[in-house]
Amino acid sequence: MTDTAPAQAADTPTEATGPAPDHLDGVDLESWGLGTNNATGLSNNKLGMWLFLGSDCLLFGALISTYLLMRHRGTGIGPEDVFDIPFTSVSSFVLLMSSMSMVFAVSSIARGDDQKLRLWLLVTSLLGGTFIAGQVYEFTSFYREGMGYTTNLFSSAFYSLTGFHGVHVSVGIIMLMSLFVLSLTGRLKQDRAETVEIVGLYWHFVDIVWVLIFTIVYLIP
Amino acid sequence: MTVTHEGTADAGYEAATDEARHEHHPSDAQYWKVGLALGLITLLEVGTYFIADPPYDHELAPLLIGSLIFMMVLKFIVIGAYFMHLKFDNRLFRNVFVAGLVLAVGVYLAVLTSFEYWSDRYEADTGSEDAVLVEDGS
Amino acid sequence: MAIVERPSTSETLELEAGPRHATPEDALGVFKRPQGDTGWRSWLFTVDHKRIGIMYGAAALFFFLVGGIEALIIRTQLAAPDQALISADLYNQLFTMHGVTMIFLVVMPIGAAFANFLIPLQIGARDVAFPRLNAFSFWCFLFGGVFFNSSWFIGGGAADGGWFAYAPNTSVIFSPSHGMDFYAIGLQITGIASLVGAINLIATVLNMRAPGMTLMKMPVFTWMSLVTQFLLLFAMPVISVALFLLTFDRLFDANFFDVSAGADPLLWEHLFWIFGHPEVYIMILPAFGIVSETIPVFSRKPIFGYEFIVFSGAAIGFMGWGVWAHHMFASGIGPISVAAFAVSTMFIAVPTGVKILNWMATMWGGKLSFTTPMLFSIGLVTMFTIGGLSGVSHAVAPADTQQTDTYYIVAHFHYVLFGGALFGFVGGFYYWWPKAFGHMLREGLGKAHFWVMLLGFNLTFGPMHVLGLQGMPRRTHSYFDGYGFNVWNLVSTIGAFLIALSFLIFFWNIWVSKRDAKKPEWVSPGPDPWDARSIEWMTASPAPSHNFDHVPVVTHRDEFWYRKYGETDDHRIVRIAAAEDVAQTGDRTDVHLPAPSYWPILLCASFPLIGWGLIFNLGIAFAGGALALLALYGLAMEPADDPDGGHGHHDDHVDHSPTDGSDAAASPTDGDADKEATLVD
Repeated sequence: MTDTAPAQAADTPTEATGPAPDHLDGVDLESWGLGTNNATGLSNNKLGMWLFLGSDCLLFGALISTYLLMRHRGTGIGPEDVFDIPFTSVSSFVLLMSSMSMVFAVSSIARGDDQKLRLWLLVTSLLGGTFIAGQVYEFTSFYREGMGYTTNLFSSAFYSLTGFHGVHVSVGIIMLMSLFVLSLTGRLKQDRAETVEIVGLYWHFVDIVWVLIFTIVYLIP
Repeated sequence: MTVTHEGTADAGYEAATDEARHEHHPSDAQYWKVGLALGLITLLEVGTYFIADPPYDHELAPLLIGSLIFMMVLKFIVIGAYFMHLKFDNRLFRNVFVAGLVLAVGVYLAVLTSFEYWSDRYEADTGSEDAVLVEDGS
Repeated sequence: MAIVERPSTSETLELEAGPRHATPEDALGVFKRPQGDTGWRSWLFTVDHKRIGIMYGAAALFFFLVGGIEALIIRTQLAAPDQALISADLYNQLFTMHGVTMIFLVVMPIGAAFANFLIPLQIGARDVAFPRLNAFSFWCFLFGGVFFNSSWFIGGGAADGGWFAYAPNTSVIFSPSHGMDFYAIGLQITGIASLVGAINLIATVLNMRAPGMTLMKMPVFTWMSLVTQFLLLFAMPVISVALFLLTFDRLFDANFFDVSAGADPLLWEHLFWIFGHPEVYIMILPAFGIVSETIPVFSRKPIFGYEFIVFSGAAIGFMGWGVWAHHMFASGIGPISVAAFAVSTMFIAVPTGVKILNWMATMWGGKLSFTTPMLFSIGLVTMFTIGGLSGVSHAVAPADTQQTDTYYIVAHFHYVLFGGALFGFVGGFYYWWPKAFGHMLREGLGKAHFWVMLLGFNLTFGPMHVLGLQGMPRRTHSYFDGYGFNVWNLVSTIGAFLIALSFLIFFWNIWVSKRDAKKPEWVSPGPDPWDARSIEWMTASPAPSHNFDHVPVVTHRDEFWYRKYGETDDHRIVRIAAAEDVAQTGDRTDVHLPAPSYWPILLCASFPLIGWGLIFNLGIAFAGGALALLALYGLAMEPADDPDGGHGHHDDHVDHSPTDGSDAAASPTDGDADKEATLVD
């Protein structure tokens, strides 16, 4: 291939006949990381995760609204009959603490401390698993009290909302365990700290959704 | 929405992944404090619930519910700002998230309002067999 | 220029120093990566945004045929009063499937086709931010569409609840076939495609712009697509929840829309239209973007009021979230809600009107050339204005209660969706065809297409205004003689077949133009057949797989035009360079591109299995779930970049390309994968 054609020269930055610099309108081309096509200097992956989380707000918003509209309509068993606030408070606290251990996992890999990373990933997964186990126990005891999925509006809406959240937590645990295995096999080093950070964002989001659910669904029946 | 490039001057492409950026982040000790604060707020929340003596017959019920919502929002903001680094990261991340959040809150509050969820009439439907929304003029 | 003084470490500037998340030893891909750039494999496993865009377009045109045939059957049934060519039940299925197909499987994917093909080219990027997720989006859409349409054969009847699927009409009691299950799960699958596509394209536009391409220098099409993707990002989860609730109601006996259990089915209407109204703008904004590209080119003027057109587009996107209940004026939402939403609906006409004004002002005083793309663009401006005016009449709530569920509504939304979106899209096909395939479509046939389509369109949908005001209800399978409906229905049916004829001309044009391009006397149109303004024309036609030999440094809005034209001292515009001299030849061979992948198509193939399984046999669903899990891990563990892959120039249009004859069989010249980072998926 011939690289001497004027057509190509016109847009190589080294070509003097290119557009005059005064047309740049004060744009700081350095911030583009010339040649990397990165206009904001931000990671695609992280931006993608934040976009997804913004989108997920609408998902949980719809589920919470549905629950609010339905919980006192219809007949039969209601929130007051089944909720066990002390129990749910403990499992909420467990999920909250898992968020904190996730933060330590992120800062461990940022320091390059693989041992600590694995420790905190494991702790986070276990705390998340405890939360899920609590949810399973809760669902089972509700069911024993006569509250099936199809019993009434409240039960359908409650199980759907908390079930969706539970699925989110479970997906998070799967991701955490995958990271744990990757780290064990030496594929998750300091240069991929961002991967852990992104999984962490997801995990924290799941936690703040539970913050909302805990207050709106459980504490204000 | 506007994307500012000013904010990226110190966070170049390379810096987006390396440790330099984490210097702005809280230390582990600070994270412990944040976690402790969150746990305390949760304790307060549960305490408030039991003061309210469900199903909210307490004379201060509106105040108690208001403080529960306040604590919920506080926890939300603290987790978002510290654990999710929104306070320290590029504003673009915060903007896309807050856009979704604000949209969700606005739209769904409008739906609830349209259902007259806040009025006593909505509650009055509770438990009725043929509960269908009562509408003005119908 | 200041920037040129930066020490250049290597000859190749492209895509260096990205955070490499994957090194060769990380490769956990189970299979060898697909390679090569010809044959069916190169399409099935491609991650090239241009090929994905073309496949989006081709799939959408296929579904357009399906939906069009459904429409023709409907119109034949309605050609004369008291006909019973088809049963009322089948009629319900036909109008439902027609609506859903045209909206979710035609207009939205064509918008996605243009967005995929054009955004990276218009912002000077190599590819999108997540190339493999891009392939995932396409296959997810295609498999979702196939799944949805499979209800004709295995669902015991297709969906029959209308595209809006109002509860409780969609409950098992009122819609006992599996059609609505296919609707709910099928739209769920295409919704995932839209959501992932939105995340991908937003990240692309925000992050991947060429140096100097600030947001306010982006072409209007890219801007409108960005707004569209934000709408998709936030609207899809809402319909997802609605569809989940419907699925749970139908398959697992939940109570969400069960009135006898105390439910309020209005919830469905709210959730549906919170999604449904942004959806309207999701469909129209890409077409607005297209005409904002074509009208300046064929008026020989820059777009009038770029800032206004961009901000009004963003305003439409924002305000589109505050008007949904105008679809529900007749549903009893209460006078306060009706008043509030009526006012907000009237307001949203303002930014739309701003755009119409901008296009007309762009044409005003311009040197107009009435090429086929220009004709279609003017078609959009005029037809959409008619549809917009009837739309404002719906905003007046008392009038709307008269119009609701009549053919007046059908006339309105066809004027905005067919007269608006589709006219724009067809114009876009004619305009960018050379960039995609290297040859033009025939102008004569294109103009014939336009005039027949314009005539047929107005004959079909114009009379529906009259029918609606006369009181003819929508969604009725037949009408009585003697109501004064006969003549206009017949006219409308004739018009529908004229539209069909116009698309036959289009498909003939596609075929005959391709045949032309194979003739020895055929002359290539070159990189810039329209004397265009934006930088996608600054590379060869068809666009090479690496898009640009050198990522352009952008200093102007309409960058390409400023490289071709200059201003003399007495303020005359003069040509300073030929397009061929400015445009890149596209024959560079050492660009390392993202490698093709098996996983996206495999992952998407699992979704219909899960869907069918949920409806018929949970065992199949588990098998599908297992496949999905496997493919997800494959996708996640596979490096976006294949260290063993060949370098660049996977150009399959060699025969037609004017510039790349010399290096068609170019071999990799640079084997050092580490020196050339690629896009990180």
